[in-house]
Amino acid sequence: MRRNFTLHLLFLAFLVGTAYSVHSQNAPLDSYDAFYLEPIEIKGNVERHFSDGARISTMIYDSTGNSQNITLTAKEYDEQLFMANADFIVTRTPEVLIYRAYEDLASVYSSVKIELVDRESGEAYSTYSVQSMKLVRKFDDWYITHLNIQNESPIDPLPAHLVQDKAAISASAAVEKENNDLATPKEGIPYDSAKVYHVRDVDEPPVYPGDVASYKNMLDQFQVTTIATPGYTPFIITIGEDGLASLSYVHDLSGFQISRAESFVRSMLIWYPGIKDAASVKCKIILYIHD
Amino acid sequence: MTKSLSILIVMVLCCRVGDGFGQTYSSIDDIVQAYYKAVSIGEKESRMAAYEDIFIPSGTITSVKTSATKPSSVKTLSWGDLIRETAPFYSDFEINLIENEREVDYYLDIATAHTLVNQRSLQKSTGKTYSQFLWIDFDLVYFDDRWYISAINWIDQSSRQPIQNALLTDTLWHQSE
Repeated sequence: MRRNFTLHLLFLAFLVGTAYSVHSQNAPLDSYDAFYLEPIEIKGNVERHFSDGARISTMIYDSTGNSQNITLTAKEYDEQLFMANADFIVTRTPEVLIYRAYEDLASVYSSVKIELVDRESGEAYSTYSVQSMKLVRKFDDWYITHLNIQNESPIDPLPAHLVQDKAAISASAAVEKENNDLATPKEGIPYDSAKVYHVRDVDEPPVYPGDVASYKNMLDQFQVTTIATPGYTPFIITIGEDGLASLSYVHDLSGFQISRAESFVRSMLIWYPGIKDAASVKCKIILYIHD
Repeated sequence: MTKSLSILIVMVLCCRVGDGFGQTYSSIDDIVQAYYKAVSIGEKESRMAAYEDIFIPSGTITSVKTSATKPSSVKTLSWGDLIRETAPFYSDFEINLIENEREVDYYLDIATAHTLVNQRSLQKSTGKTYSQFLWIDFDLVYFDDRWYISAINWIDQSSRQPIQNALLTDTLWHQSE
């Protein structure tokens, strides 16, 4: 029952779309902004953002991390949004991470913060998703031809630097900012000695010894960055309770990249571990290595 | 005799893998390469089977064909409809895709692979080869322990700018206002 509820909630979250008044959109990001920012009110408005034959494909998760892929037509998507709007006040806050365009095709890769407030109870939910949107130009307007949505997994939250309120612009800034952001620990995540925590969910995140410059030098030396960057592939390191770093996820790295990531981790000093409820805990950090 | 049979079995297995079937598609490279192979298959039913193996059932392909004198032609089809519509083209041409460059945007179980590709079309009747450059954009999803293609969007190189411009990135941290 709980799993079904969670799936339902996440499904509603991904369905969040917007309506917009009909007017000319002359650039891909104009259409992008209009799609996300207008309130959902009138049935059919969302569908108008999509080109003929467009599909919306999404990955959703239950509380145990099991995934499902659901694909909808623009009309089905519109209907689901309309129904969601009846029960929830919905707001979305998108953030473009990577943008590409060539002639009449554009690709926008972004993170989207989704907030749902139950109209009856007033209870609020929020989650993040990564959305990959493709737009095409027809008759001087831009339309969405495909939308791929990855909802935040409960067991693998979005890295802090990919979401709006934790944006960072450099490796050193990311380290400093995460330390500042985490001055107020997230509530509701109980201490669990076996759990590998996201840095957002601990009272104090792991800290690399020495100054920020030495950490950044090490990142540069191994062509690693803390920010999603074209030409870089993500991987995860875990900082144990003892402060030792280890590679924990190298899903799509090449053999050469894995070798370089291993050298990177081996060259690390012992970290100050993350702290939760006054105890040392395991923490994961997502990094990106050059292809 | 036994040795010959063993060699034959190994050769058959190699051909099978080479056709794209039996692949695990556990990496993004697997699924992208499988698409290039599928596109090059001349026989319609085999091409259909290869597409079925790598696309989700509702997968789509959007083509944007540029023109120097007219607006671009944009069309979205299911992969099944695309195979049916392009059957006459395949009776006249052999297609080959050669990837020159690739970038990947990636988070958990979705990814987008942006590739610059040289499409070579050999006209069977004349032996002439026609070449064009494409930006092919793969939308990928990962479930059941493998990658699938949920959509492909491609555009051909226009006379106005080089196709390499497609991989230039811009507008980091754009916020909607």
